[in-house]
Amino acid sequence: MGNNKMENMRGHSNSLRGKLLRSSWLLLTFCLLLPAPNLVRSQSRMDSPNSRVLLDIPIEQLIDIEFVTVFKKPGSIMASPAAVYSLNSDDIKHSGGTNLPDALRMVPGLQVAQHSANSWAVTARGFSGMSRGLSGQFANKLLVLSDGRSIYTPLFSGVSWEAQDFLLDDTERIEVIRGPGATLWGANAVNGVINILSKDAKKTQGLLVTAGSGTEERAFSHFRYGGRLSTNTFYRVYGKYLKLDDLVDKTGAGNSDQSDLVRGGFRLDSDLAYSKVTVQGELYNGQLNRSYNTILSDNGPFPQRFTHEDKLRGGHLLTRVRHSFSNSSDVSVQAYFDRVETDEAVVKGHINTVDIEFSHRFDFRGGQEVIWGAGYRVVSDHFDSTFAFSLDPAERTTTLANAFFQDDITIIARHLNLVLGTKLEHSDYAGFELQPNARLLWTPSSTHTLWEAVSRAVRTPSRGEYDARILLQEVTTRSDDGSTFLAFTGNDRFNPETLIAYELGYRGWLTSKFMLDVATFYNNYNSLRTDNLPPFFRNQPIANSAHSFVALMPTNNMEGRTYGIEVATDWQVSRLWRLRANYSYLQINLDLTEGFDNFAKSIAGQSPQHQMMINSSLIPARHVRTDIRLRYVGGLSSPNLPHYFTADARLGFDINRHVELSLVGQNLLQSRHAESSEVLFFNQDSPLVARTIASQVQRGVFSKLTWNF
Amino acid sequence: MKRILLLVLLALSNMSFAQTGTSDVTEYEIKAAFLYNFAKFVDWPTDVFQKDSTTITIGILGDDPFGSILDEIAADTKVKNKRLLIKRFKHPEDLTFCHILYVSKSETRRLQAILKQVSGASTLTIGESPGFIERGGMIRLINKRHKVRFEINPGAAKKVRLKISSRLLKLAENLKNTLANGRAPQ
Repeated sequence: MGNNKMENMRGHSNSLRGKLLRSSWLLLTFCLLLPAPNLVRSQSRMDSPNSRVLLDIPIEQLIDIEFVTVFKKPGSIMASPAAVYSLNSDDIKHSGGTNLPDALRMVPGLQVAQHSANSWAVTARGFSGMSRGLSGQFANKLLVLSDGRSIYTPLFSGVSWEAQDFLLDDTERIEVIRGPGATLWGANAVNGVINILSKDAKKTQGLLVTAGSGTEERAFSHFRYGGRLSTNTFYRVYGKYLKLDDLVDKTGAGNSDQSDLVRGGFRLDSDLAYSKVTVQGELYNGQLNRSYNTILSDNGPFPQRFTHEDKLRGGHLLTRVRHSFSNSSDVSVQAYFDRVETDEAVVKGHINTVDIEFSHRFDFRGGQEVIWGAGYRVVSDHFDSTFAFSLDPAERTTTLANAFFQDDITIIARHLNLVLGTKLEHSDYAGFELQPNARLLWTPSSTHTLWEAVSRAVRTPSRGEYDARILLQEVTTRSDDGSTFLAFTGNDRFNPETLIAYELGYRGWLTSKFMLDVATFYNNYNSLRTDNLPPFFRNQPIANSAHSFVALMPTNNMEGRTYGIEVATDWQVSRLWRLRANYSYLQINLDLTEGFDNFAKSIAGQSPQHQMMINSSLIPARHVRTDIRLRYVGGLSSPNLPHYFTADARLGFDINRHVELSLVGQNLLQSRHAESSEVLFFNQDSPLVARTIASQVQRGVFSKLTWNF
Repeated sequence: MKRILLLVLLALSNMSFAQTGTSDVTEYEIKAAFLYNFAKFVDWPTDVFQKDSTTITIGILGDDPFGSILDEIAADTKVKNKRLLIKRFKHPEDLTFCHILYVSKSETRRLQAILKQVSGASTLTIGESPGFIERGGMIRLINKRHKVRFEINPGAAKKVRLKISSRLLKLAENLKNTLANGRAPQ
C-alpha cells in the first residue's frame, strides 16, 4: 500500500518534471527572443565598466577607438568619503517625474514636500524652510547647482523650484551629497549639495520631441535638436513648455495655483586636443498663479485672501573651459551671468549675478591628489518697495570671494585615504569664514568602504535677513490711527549659522548583486536663527500710511543637535528586475539660548522622523518596462500633518526604435494628501500663517510620447 | 533540471544589450586592453611557466597610470587559461620576474639601466617614454591624436625567445616604415 503510494507519487513527480521541462524550454525560447535592454545599474561595481567591454573588442578595432581626455572627477561614488547618491538619466527617466523635486524623492534622506502646484520645499537632514516661506518655500541649508551655476536665491537663502524646469531627458546625472559640502561647493552647502548635470551636446544629437498631457500636468511639450558644427563641436537647442493644473486646498476647492512656463536654450560643447569648451544659455518666462493669504495694501483687510498671477522671467549664459596638462593635472575655469526678474504680488524686483571661478587638480608626489581654486561673485539686485515688503537699501551690490584647498592623501595605496580640505570665504554679510573638513576613507577590499568625516559649515545671512521689512500680521487695530503690525525687520548684526558635522558611513556589495549604503550623522548647530522682539520695542511708523509696526528681528538665539541614519539598498534580483529600497530616520532637538521664539523651536517638527521608499523596476515583456514606487513619509508635528503612504507608477512601451509611449500615475493611493500646510504654528491667540495657501497633492495620471530621431 | 537552468543562464548571458551604454572611453582603459591583448598574442618559452603554469604576471614599474583598471581586468579574466597577476614595483631593485613589464614614464631617466637589468629574462617590456624602442624596449605605446597605437621591436623580443604573433606585428606603427625601407628593425 505504502509502496503503491510512493509509486504514484513518483509517477506524479515525473509528469510534474515533464511539465517543468516543457515550460523551461518555453522560457528558454522566450529568453532568446528577448532583446534585454540594459537594466544593470550604471553605478557599476567596477570603477571603469568600459574595461570589460574593451576586452571583447578585437585588437584591429581597438586601434581605432578614440579616447576622451579625462578630467578626473572626485572619484567614483564607491570611493567617496561622503553620503553621495547619484541618479543617472535612466533613473530620472523612469521615475515618472516631470520635474526635479519629484525625481529627488528617490534619494534617501531628502525631504520633498509639495506646497502648491508650483512650489516645493526640498531639504536634507532637516530645516525644510516651510516656516520661512515668504513667497515660496525656502530651505536655506541646501545648495543646488545646475551645471556649476548656483540656483540658490541670495534674497531669501533658498531655491525657487518653481523657476526651475529641467529637461529630464537631457539630464546626465543628479548627484546629491547629504552633509556639508563646504570645501568644494561653498557656503550654504550646510546640509547638502544637489548637483544637476546636463548631458554633453555630443550625447543629445538629432531631434527629440516629447508631448504629453494629463489630469494635473495639463500639457507639456519639449523639443530638442542637436547637431554638429565640426568634427569636434556639437550643439543642441531646445524649447520647453509646461502647463500645470491647479491643485486643491484642504476643503477640496481649487486653489488657483495653475502655471505656465516656457523656456528655451542651447548648449555647445567642443572637444579640442586636450581641452573641452562648453557654452550654454537659457531664457525662461513663466506665469504662476498663487493663492495668497497675506497683507497686501494699506487699506486692508489684514490679511486678505486673493489670487495673483506672479510672473517669473530670467536667463543665464555660462562658459566653462577645461584643459588637461597631463593625465595627472588639469585646470578648469568657469564664468556665468544669471538674471532673475520676479513680479509677484508682494515681491517685485530683479537679481543679476556674475560669477567667475577656477580650480586646478593635480597629483602630487607621494600619492597625493590636490585640488585648489578660487572664485569671485558679484550679486546686484533691486526690489521695489511695496506696503508689505521692502528692502533697505532697495538696491545693493554684494561680493563674495572664496578660495579652497583639498588634499587627498593616500596613506595605504588603495586601502586608506585621508582627505583634508578647507574653504575660506569672504562675504559682505559675514566677513571671513573658514570651513575646514577632514575625511577618512578605508577600503578593506574592493567591495567594501568605510568612511568618516568631520566638517564645519556656515550658512551666511541673506539680503532679506539684513535688509528686509516684511509685514507679517496685524497685532492691534486702532480705528482712527491705523493698525500696528508685527514686521520681520532685517538686522545687520545677524550672524551666520554654523554647523559642525560628524558623519560615518559604509558602502558595500554584500553579494555581487546587492549593494548596501548606510550614512549616519550627528550635526551640532550653533547660532541658528530665531526671530525676536527686542527687549524694549516700540512702534515705528510705516511711511505714507497711518499704520505702524513693531520689529521682529533675526537673532542667533538657538542651537540644535540633529542626528539620523540614511540607508539605501540596491538589489539586482535578475537581469530584468531591480529593486531599490531606502529608509531614513531623523531626530531634531532645538533649544533656545535666550528669548521666547517658540516658533523657531517648532521647526524641529517640520521634518518627518521616518521616510521610506521601495522602487521596483521590471521588464515584464519585450519593449515594456514598468516602474513602481511606494513611499511613506512620516507625519509632522508642526504644522500638524499626518503621515502619508502613496504610490507612483510608470509604464513605458517602446513602440519602435524611435518612439516611446509612457503612462504615469502619481500619488495613486489617495485622491489627495497634504505634504505642506499654510498653518505653520498654532498658538491659542493667533496661528502663524504662511503667505501662500498650501494645496493638497492630488492623484494624477498623464501620458507622454517621445520621438527620438 | 540543472541542465535546463544552465541552458537558460547561457541564453541570458548571450543576450546583447539594446544599447551598449558605454560611457566615454579613457586613454588608460584602452591601454589596459592593449596590455591584455599583448598577453594574448605573445608566446613565452615553456620554461617560464615551469614554476607556475597558472599565472601570467604583469608588472608595473614606477608611477601607475592605470589605477584600478588593470586590477579589475585581472579579477575577471583569463588569458590562455592562465589568470593575470598584477604586481607593482617602486624601484628596479625590487623587481621580480614578470611576463610583461610596463615601465612607467616616471622611470624615463633610468630607462636604459632598467631595460638592461631585465634583458636576460623572457620579459615583454612595454613603455611609453620617448626613445623606448631605441633603448632596447620591445613595445612602445603612443598616442596618435586621440587613438592608441604601438611600435614594436620584434628583434628585441626574439632575443629573449618571445614570439610575437603576426596579428600584432601587422598593426604596429613603425614596422610598415622600416620594412618599406628594407631595414630590419633594431
